[in-house]
Amino acid sequence: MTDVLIILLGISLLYVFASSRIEAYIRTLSVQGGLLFALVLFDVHSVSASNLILLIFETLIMKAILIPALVYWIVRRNDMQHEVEPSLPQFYSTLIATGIFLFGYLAAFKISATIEGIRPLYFGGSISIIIASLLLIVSRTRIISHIFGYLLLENGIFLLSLSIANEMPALVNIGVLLDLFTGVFILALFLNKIQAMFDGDHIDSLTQLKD
Amino acid sequence: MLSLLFIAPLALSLCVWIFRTRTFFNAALLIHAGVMLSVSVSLYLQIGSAGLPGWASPYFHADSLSLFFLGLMTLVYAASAIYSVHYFQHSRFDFKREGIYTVSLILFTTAMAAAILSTHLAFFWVFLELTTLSSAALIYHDRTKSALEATWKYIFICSIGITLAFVGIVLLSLGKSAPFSSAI
Repeated sequence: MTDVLIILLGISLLYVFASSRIEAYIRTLSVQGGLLFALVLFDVHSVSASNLILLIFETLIMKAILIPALVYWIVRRNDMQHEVEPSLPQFYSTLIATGIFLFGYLAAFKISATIEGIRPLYFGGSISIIIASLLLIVSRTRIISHIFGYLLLENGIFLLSLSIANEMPALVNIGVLLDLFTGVFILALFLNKIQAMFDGDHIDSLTQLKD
Repeated sequence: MLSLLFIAPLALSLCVWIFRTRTFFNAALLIHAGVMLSVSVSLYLQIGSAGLPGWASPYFHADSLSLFFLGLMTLVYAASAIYSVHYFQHSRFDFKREGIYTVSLILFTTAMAAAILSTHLAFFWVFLELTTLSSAALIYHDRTKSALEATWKYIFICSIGITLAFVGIVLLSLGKSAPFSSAI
């Protein structure tokens, strides 16, 4: 079951690359939150009750509901365009992302053969999501899509920390801290101000600073 | 002495929140700089015990390298605290902005000192994240268009960096067979 969930997570990221609407990004964020919640339920066994509650809060409340709702609120409040304006054609970026997934899984299977304790699907999935999110950040030209890239990166890192959650719950708790940091600070505070002050959220408007 | 490093900024930030006068803002900065200087000098001369509660004492330790960096940082901080007093005398901002500046600077230096002194990777990472948060407020102090642009770029680059540092910590923990709870 966990294998299916991880593959679904990867497919949802490819869907982001293929789509050009902000709504699709928001839906994917919410779906990924739900998938991570299901992963926590199916796969995390030997953590204490308090840690499990924290994990459920993090995935179900934060990732699946609160953060997508906050992004949706920002998009509606600022009356943003619904197109994400890729700088690299969507076909090519989807193709590159598929290559990244191939590389991630191949590397993970190769590493897991030599190092003990690494689960190849978890490791490959998370590494691929992390690298593909970085690609998403550089291949889109709007600040809102950069934020999506960052949030998807967070999901990849959460998956990576989940893979060792049974042994090291402390690490996952720190990951929760990282999420709170993003949700409150980056999203709500600055995007609103940038939209108001620069009249739009295109990255070309942020070129005032020079060396 | 180390406990002063954490109690003083909390108390001073609370006081700044309560007493909103320019004189108090200046006094808080200078007092905090004095506390930081005295803590580093006493750690260097090994005067007094660490003074931390039992659960926290394994996580903070002053070795010779961290003492060197702590000393360097407190000297620069003392200079910038004195300069801030001068700066506020010549440029009039509203009290809210001066208060935010004062609290952010105090938290920023405290987080840096704690990051320097921590012996545990998780604590080190948390305090590093705290420095990003507090310094973003300092960068946005001017409230201009270029300040906003700089803050956005700073926040975004730093948070991506910190996130990747988290990956590094996870991989280090995987590489090390002992549980994460032991200091690396």
